[in-house]
Amino acid sequence: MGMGAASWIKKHGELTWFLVLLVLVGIFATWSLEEVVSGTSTNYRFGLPLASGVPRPLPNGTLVVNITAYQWGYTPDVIVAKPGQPVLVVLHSRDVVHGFLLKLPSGTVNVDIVPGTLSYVFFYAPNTPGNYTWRCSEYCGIGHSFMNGTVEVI
Amino acid sequence: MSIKDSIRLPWSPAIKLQQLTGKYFSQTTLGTSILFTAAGLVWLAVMGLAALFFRLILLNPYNTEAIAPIYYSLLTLHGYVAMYILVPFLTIGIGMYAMYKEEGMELTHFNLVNVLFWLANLGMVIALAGGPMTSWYITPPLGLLQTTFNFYSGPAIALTYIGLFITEACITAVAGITVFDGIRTRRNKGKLSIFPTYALTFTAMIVFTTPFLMATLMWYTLGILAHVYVNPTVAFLLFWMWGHPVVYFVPFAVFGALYAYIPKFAGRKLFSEKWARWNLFLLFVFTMLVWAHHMLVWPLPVWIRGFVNASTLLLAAGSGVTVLNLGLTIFLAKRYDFSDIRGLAYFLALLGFIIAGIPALILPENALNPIVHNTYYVVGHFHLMIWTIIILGSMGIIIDQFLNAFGRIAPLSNLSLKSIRAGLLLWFGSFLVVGFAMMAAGYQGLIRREIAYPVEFLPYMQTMTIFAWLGGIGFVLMAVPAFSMVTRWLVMKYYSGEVEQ
Repeated sequence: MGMGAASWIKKHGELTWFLVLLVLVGIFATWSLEEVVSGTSTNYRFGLPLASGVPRPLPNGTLVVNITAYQWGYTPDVIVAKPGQPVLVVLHSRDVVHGFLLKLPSGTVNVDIVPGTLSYVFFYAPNTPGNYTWRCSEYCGIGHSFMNGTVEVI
Repeated sequence: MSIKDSIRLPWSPAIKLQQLTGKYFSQTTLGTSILFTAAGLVWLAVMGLAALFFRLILLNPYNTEAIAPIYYSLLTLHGYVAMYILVPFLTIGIGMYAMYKEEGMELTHFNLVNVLFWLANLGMVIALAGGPMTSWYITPPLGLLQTTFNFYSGPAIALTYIGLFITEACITAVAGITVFDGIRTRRNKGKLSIFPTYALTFTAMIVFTTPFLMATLMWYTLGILAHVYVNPTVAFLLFWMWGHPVVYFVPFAVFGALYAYIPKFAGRKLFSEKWARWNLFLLFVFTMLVWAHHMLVWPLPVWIRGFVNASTLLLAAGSGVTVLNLGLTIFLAKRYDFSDIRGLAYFLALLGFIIAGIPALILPENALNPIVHNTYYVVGHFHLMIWTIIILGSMGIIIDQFLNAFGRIAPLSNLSLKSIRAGLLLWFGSFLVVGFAMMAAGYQGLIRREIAYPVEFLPYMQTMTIFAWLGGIGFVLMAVPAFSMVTRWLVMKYYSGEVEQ
């Protein structure tokens, strides 16, 4: 019997391990997709572009901000929010592809702003008052490094 | 005397051309494969120097817009050369060498291949003269803004895209000819050995994927010259349908060499030949189905996110099987021959591939990707891949190629062997540090392609710059013996009368 198992492994081991690996990938990918669709994963909670992660209806007291990105700046470039206040940012590009990367204590918001399409970002303002800087994360020309804005929590 | 000979004039352009091509064009498969890999090394030196210089600029976190045009021009040169010409040249050179060495397959269209080779180089020079400051990929419609170009102005900026189009068209044609000639001249029957199987499959992939890039380039050209509307998302998707597979051309061709030669240096059979062959289908198919994972921070629907997540993981599983297969081959061997510089290069390439691959596992995950997208984390990951599996893997093959072509007349001296060994180790060690410094900084939020950055990242930038220069010295330690070998070979041939005086 022992010999039988050894010869079975020798004969079918390679195919079996190959298939096991594919099944593992299938499980991992399905789990990841389920997280994305249900909105339970870390960053999806803040809303990926296309508004797919934005809560519906919006929580009471949500601050809605429309921002236009251009070479090289944002208008407006300041968001004033209260601690813990829900914030929805609707991003629009006037010229080329820009980005919006904001590191908050509760996670990272990072989306691209593509001309002709709106990008949505939803997050809760940090509970600690202070200034939180967002930066353009997608290279957009020589002024790219100087393109930023601030979330002022007061 | 044939009729053709009897009517030959004392001077005819055709005969003169024949003499010139006979003298200056490579007329052997081995020679032509060296033409491509050696040109790849020259372009590698050019793009490497550009990187070393822009790393100096990055030592100042308070850079202003005044230095931006120089920085972004160097960055564009670095990226353009790497992806548009170096990668395909190495792939084609490796493909030609694999088919020649393992199966005795030959090129037959030498003149055409040589002409296309030089045209490809010319196209790249035309593109670089324009030097749009867009880094290696062109972000539509950024690439269409005239203010971001260096030397061309107005409609002439289309020359950049036309230059790239010429390069890519020539490369596609050469790749097609290589595979076609190889199949036509195959002598052995039965299964093709593993090295040419991989190398030619991924040379063929150039033919399947580069037309997508050529279409994008033509679209930009029409956008500039005829004001045709360029849709950013469609153009970006089209671009990445080439832009993603291109990063696999060399690594997967190198996989073939690792499968063929690591067992030889380990002194045992490959752990599983079956895995190596099945894997080829997985790698070939899924390489072309994962491109949208470069766009996970773009406004894309959930189904595309799910699709690229799954397809990227499947591709990663294919790479995992490769690593397992080769790793077990070495692990189960009694010893591994590190004394051979090719054995050392292949081992470091495999080790680097594992080290660079593991941090990438979070990247296809929709939930985790935004934490590091567009940061130095990604830059560190893919550069580690380039420095190890691509450069060191190719180095192993190129050393073998040079020894085959020049070694009998001009063998490597002991000093040269030591220099190459030191170069391989210095390159590997230095760039390991650079890669991890990049990933650590990126994880903490250092955004790529910025000339002014938060000052807390300065120590990371200093580490990257110092070790990148050390790695550059590693390249010189490898290049000098190779250069002296070729020079010695040429001198010996000259004095023996084999090279025309």
